[in-house]
Amino acid sequence: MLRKLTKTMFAFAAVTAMASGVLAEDLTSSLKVGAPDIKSAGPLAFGPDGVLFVGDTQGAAIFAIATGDTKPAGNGELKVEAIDEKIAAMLGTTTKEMAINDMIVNPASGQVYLSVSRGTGPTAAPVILRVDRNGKISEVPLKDVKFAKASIANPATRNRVDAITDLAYIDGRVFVAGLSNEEFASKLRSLPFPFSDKEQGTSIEIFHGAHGKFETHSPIRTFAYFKSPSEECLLAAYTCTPLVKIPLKDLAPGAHVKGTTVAELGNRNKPLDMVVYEKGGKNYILMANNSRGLMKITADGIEKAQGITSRIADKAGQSYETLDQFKNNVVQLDRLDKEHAVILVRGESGALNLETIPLP
Amino acid sequence: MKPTRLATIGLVAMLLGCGRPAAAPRPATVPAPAGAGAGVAYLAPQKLGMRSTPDGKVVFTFGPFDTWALAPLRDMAKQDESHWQKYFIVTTQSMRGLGAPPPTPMLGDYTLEGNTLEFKPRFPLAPGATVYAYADMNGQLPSTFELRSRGEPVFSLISQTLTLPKPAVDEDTRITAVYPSADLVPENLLKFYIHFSGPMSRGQAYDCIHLFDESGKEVESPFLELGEELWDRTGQRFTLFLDPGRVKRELLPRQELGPVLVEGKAYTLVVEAKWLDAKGNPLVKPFRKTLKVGPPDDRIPEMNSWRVSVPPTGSREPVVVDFPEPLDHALLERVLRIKSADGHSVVGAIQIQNAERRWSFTPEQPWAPGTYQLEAETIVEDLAGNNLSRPFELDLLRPVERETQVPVQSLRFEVK
Repeated sequence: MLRKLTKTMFAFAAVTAMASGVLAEDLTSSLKVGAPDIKSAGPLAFGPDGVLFVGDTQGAAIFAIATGDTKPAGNGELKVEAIDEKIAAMLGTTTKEMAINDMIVNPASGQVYLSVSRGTGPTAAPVILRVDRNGKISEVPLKDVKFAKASIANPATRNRVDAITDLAYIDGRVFVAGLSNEEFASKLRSLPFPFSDKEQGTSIEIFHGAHGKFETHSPIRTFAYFKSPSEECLLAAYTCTPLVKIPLKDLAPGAHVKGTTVAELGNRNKPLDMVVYEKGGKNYILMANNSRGLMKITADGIEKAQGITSRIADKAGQSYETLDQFKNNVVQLDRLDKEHAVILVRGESGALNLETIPLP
Repeated sequence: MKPTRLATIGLVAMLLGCGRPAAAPRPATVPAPAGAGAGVAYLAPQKLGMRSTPDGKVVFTFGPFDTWALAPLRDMAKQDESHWQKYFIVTTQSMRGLGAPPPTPMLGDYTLEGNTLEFKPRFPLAPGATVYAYADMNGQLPSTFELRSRGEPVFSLISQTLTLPKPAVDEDTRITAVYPSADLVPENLLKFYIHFSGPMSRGQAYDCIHLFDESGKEVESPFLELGEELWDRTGQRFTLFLDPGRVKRELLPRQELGPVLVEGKAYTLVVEAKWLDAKGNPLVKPFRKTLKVGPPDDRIPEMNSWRVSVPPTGSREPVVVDFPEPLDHALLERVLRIKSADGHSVVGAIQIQNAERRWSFTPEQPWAPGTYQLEAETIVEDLAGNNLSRPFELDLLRPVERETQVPVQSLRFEVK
């Protein structure tokens, strides 16, 4: 009797396990254990289920790594003084011989991830670090981890390199912005995720039409996903400075995509990062700009923007203001939660501090 | 008590097989400095052996009289690894002073064998790096200055610091070429390429490159500055774009600051020697180039304006292609090729000459008679970014017949 009961229990357990296995199939199920051969750790982005995407310019690839970081990790204030000095010491080097390439927050856990180059030459070692809510810094292992790799289609000949400037996971696809170090091109790549050998992704040419008169290739420095009541779009900052919106539905293979200018932020505008947030029922964009500090740009009404089509004097398009207290010193920015953002800011001593700020 | 007396006692204790003393004998003390609180003890420093190994480890050697002091270390070794970092830190950060927060430990592995503690850093230490070791040894290691406080580990420097030897510089890095190499450039010049003799370090480019006008005044913000910097894979070629916001018309930066280059004027491009190579050494010398600026170029290069000089059959003389204007050096190296009648690329060597107005191709094998194609991918650009299929700035108001976007164009030639 006991044996029969045990058998039934096992059977029940097995069925339950199988059922939950099927229901719980998540983005990590396509990943396989191994050692991702990352050559350089550049822009980062999170997808669901703790999947971290890493843009590798030197290796011409995008990696997806299962971090296992899927649960909220506490409420401690994210604040680490002189984090660059601490990282340099952990890596056995000095702040001059390393670079922090990107900083993002895992929205599922509230922990911070950093991509670092340990060394400054072409063979600098890639390192990915995690900062927990107690400010403790640890290494994200790049051995014995579940991962996948997608090569970015490239005439990978001789000296041509596509520098990846930004990436994001949106609805089953990874978008990668970059520019070439030879021809003046403006590819926005869209790769399906899970990565597929069959579909290598599409490469979309992005253009800008200045005042409807001159149309040029326009590489993207940084972009953010924005959902308005009527459309989903990318807000993108071009290297030639306009801030544009590109409806997601326009990003089809072979399409001739022109971003609609929603703000001309002008000269000395070097956008580094952009996040979208809501406050008081209105939508805003917070942009970190290495020449102007933090800028707060209104996002309401952006879906109606017809584009700035005439020679503008000043402040046409979405209105914006510059936040004075962080002039020129913010080097990385990401959203933490509904009310806060995390920044890497250069302090008075010259060291980089990780700080939490309220979304303005 | 003098340290040597203590050492003798320790040694004797060891020889008598006392093992670890039940109550650790008070190490030698020197009088506490004035102003220190009660219960504070300072120890006279002694030197520990500390050296680096050729395979990048840092090795600490404790003297025989320290063996009893190693016991707590051995206990720690049996516990989990993070205990090491709590009490014995190897680091590149120097501590700011007694009582300051402990320096950040270097990632690495510790191995204790006998009297030797080996630390293997996670990443190889760079030549010239300075390494410090700090320990909190519960007052038992005789070679520390120690400031005890409430049970928290308190660190002190346990030995002399170690500076890794730097190998002699074998060869300095120099700039080998800057393109375009012509002295005359169009007003809407789009980019420069800077070539180096060895790999360079990243992160300093825009601090080291300057553009000066005729009066010697620096042009403000002339270049596109990207955190990523645009290098090739070897780290020996740097692509420098002029700010497209100022080169392109109708954009705000150009309205605010004007174009980067103005027709009719002269400018000097300067690259400073302080730009470090991948080994951390500056360049041999700075680079200067004077440019004269001609009118803007908004015409697309046309392949049928290229003059092809055909070599004789049976020779290995080059096919020479002359352009009416200089073209982009990097693209000329990559996107032009010769194909034989069967569609295969002819194997040979490319040379770019005459300030990028001449492309010549020398075959490996002598030319067989027949029809050949000079094939050019349409992305080949002139100095203003106009390529074979579209100008850098397409004027939407001028009715233009847009041709099908073909990826390549060809010119046929016969070898007789």
